[in-house]
Amino acid sequence: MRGKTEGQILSIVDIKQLKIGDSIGPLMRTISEDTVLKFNQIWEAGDSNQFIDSNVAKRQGLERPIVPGVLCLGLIEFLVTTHIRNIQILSLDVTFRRVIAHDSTLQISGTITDITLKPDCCIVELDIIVSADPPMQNVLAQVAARVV
Amino acid sequence: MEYFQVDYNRENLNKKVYSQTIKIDARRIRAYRSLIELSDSQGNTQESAESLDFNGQEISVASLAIFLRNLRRPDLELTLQGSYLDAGKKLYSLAPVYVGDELDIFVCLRKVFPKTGRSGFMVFIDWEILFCRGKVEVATILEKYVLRPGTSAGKN
Repeated sequence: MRGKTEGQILSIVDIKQLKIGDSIGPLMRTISEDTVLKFNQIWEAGDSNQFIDSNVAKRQGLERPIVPGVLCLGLIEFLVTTHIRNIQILSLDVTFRRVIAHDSTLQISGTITDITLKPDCCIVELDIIVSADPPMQNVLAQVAARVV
Repeated sequence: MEYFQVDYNRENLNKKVYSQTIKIDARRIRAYRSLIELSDSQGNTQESAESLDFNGQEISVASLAIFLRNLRRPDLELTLQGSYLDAGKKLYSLAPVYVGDELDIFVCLRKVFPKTGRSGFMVFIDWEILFCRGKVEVATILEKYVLRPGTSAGKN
């Protein structure tokens, strides 16, 4: 179901209803081991890495397997595209600050930092925070997107 | 202040190298969208996606990141050993990319530099990945990895 996750029904809105400083989200997602396994297959990452193998993770100084950073890109895209109608991401600048363990419940939220009106579209900029244990920030992102 | 020089093959710096050609295949994009619960550009949900022909549909620049895992890159010949973690990515869409496209990927080593912070001594490695359809550059991804010396070798 579009926009439904962990009991939430996210409402998608038109850009005209939004202004600088408005928040979108939070989106709550629990990333299970099964989700990471499936993502690993799509990503063609193999089966001996710190994302699914406890021994490899420990050898690399991690307490346990972690969620791939690339998976978070999709979650950020999900947040943006399920909240703002007809939006296309132009750029995404992501910093992975802390590792995320399996079965963490992520809180993903965004704030609109700029809206530029153009003749045929609108450029929106957002700051996104992904947090496994608020107020700790695991992933920070800046998104620029076009809304038609 | 102690200055630490990282030993690696500097001949690779700023050299654009062909890596491989990928096909944006519908099966993989469908599986990715389904896992993340993304709808497609037509607003179709994953529930209806199974029956759709994805060919020709535009994909987001974020979706391109799933094709990076096994990218062939020049050997850095770093003398330091350790494990790699993904420190960050910057993705730029320059032109639309569609399911079914064949893209040539070029890689370029941009920077290798040491840093000592709260987590101790680390080496950062910056790559630039270029996605081209023919002569048209359709997307760029800048990747930053951190090498943590003293941990078992592995890549993120």
